[in-house]
Amino acid sequence: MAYYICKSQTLQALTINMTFSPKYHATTEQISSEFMQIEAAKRDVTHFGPIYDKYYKQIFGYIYQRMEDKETAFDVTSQVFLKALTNLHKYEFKGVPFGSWLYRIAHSEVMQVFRDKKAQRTVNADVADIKHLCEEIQESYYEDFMPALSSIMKSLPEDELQLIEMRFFEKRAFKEIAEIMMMTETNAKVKLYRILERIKKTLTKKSK
Amino acid sequence: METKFNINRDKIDDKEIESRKDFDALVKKFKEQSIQDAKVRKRWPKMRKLVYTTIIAGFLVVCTVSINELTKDKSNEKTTTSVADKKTILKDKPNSKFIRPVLAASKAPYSKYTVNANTGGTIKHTTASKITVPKSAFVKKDGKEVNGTVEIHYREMHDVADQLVSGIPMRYDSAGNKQNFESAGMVDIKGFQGGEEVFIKPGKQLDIDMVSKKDGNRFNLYYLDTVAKKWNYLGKDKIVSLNEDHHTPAVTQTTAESKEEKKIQSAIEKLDESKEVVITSTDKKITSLTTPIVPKKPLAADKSRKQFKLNVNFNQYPELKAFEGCVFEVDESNTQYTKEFNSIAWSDAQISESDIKGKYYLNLSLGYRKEKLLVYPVFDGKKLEEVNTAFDKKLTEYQKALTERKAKEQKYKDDLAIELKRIETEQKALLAKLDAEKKKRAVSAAEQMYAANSGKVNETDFKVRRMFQISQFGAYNSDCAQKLASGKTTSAELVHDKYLLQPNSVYLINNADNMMYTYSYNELYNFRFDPKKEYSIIAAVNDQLYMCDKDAFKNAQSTKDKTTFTFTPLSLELFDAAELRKKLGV
Repeated sequence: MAYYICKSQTLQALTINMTFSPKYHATTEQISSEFMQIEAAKRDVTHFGPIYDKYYKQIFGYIYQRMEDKETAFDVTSQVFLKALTNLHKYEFKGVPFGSWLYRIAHSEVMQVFRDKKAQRTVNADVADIKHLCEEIQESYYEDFMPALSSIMKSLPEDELQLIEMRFFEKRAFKEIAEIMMMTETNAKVKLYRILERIKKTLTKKSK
Repeated sequence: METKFNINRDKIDDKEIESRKDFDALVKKFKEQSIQDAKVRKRWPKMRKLVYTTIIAGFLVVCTVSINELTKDKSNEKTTTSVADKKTILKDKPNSKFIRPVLAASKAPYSKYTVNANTGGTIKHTTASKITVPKSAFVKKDGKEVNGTVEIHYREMHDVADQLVSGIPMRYDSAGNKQNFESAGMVDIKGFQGGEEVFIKPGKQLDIDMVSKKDGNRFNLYYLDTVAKKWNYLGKDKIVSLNEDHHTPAVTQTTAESKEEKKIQSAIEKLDESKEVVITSTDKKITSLTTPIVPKKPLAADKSRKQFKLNVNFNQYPELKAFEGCVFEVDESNTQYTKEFNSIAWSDAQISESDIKGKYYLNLSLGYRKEKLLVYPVFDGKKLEEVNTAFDKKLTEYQKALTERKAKEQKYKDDLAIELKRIETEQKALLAKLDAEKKKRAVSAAEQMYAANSGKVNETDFKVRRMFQISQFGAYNSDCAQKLASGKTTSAELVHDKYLLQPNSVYLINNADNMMYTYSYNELYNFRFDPKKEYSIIAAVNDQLYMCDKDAFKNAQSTKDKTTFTFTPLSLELFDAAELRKKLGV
């Protein structure tokens, strides 16, 4: 099997080629208004309703992306919001959307489910996403490239897999990834770039 | 369980996700859980006795195990001692604090300033750094706005002595690579009201204008996240150069603007406004100039085309008089037109302009029949000669009007250019005047500053001002991340007299570059330095400070794998940055 490896991609290319979901990009006013809602919810949980409505689908999507079973994903989503309510008094506004805090809870809950072996870690992607990932490391997409990529992805540590998943399969902005994973935007870019470089090297070795 | 890889899995319908939302159930569950927690808390005093008994028993077990462990350690120490030329090990007590001054008693005090939270204000630090607080910039823990006086606690760190005393970590994790910061200055700022911590209101920012001893834009701005225990990259700060001759702080930032400066500034702004006015008024004048309309050359009739004439009493219908004598040719697009049209005595005929230049709609009606033709006027015979003469006259008039218009427009433009030049010259003169005023103020402010600070810190080393905005309190650092020093790699052994030192942290200081590399004790096997440079090492063991000064560093004994550095204890009165600075010679 032969793979064609392209010239090294630049970090800039990573940032230019992607089109990502605009849902995360909140204005200062929106963040401020959310802050007010959270402050109200701290005093009376019934005020948490708008936040629940706003983030339910996003959090479910995040969880379901990482597991096989739909029902387990719905259960974990409920657990995330229950945990968020229980710990709402500890939440401190740090200038970023409340969603980042919820994603962190979701991440921790999902990991707990995997540790307890109640669900299988699953990576879900569309062909278009895989093509896009291939384009970042290769010049074109080949179907026979899939088995190798799939095996490399399975061998990645969880944090690296998360980065690939969030950027290419969930099309998140680096800013959002950085806030969910509690790192700087540059750090996220650099880490992702290094992972891609490593994947590329592994593929080159395999092709030889 | 192995990770599974799915391609193109079926998506879940939005409706299904929506249908699974149940906020009431969530609130109910939350309330039940809260009640359960409350019950547990209520039961706690009754259980306390049992729990305490268990803890004490556990403690006794742990103590027994620890004593055994200690016995084991001693036997290990003996082994190590024999390896390290029979030296006694001096091991530092464990300290897992994130912010860890070199000595517990180190003093890196904050300067305290007050500011009115409602009106905001500007704080000037003794080093000539400046903090600008906008109005209504603070909130309490509960999100309520803070009114009245707020106390700002502020400190700056400019060299390794400051860093050691403050204990703020200078290591940076860049995507897994551990690096050390070369600092161009660091600030640590907090806010309080009545002893209670306050926070910067979301959407508000404080302007920090910090003097710095290092110029160049290789430094980035970082924020210390004390929860995640790491520095977060923020971007670049804005740099303003200082007057190199005097090494004074930036002219615009030292003290409040003088009346004269304000006056000049206002005159400059007024000139800006008048520029806008002149440009707008010229634009208006040019737009209002009448643009002559190009006359259309009459068309000669083409006999091969379908034509008709309006047989109208022009005295009765004066609105059609303009078309007297002309022939209408029917446009090719009118496929419905037949010769029959010419023989019908239409009861009504209306001519209106079409969207196509030079072409008209002829609307004809007779009873219920209505026809719409696209037509254009043409002339023949004598009439053509007449209209051509008229056209030539109109064309001459048009050309004359056009030349006049162009001349007027050019004049307006020339006038504008002259006026703008005049304004710019005036502004240039004012800017030069303003610059001189600012320079004058800066020199005077710097003189005052040096007088106030003489003997404290050598402010004359300040080269630039670094400006940035903060939206939360904490430590901010203008830094350049550096890899470990390169040149020689060795395993470092730290020795004082008959003791082998085992500090928690070791600080390798490059005296010339004002750069500090932090090593944990476990990292000393990979101790790196450049033999061409001068270094000192600082270490603290059980609240006693030890130093390997630059001479001792030079004379360190090296074998193939190991370098032994000899340390001497430093005086216990050494608690603040000024004393440490003297000892380090930085």
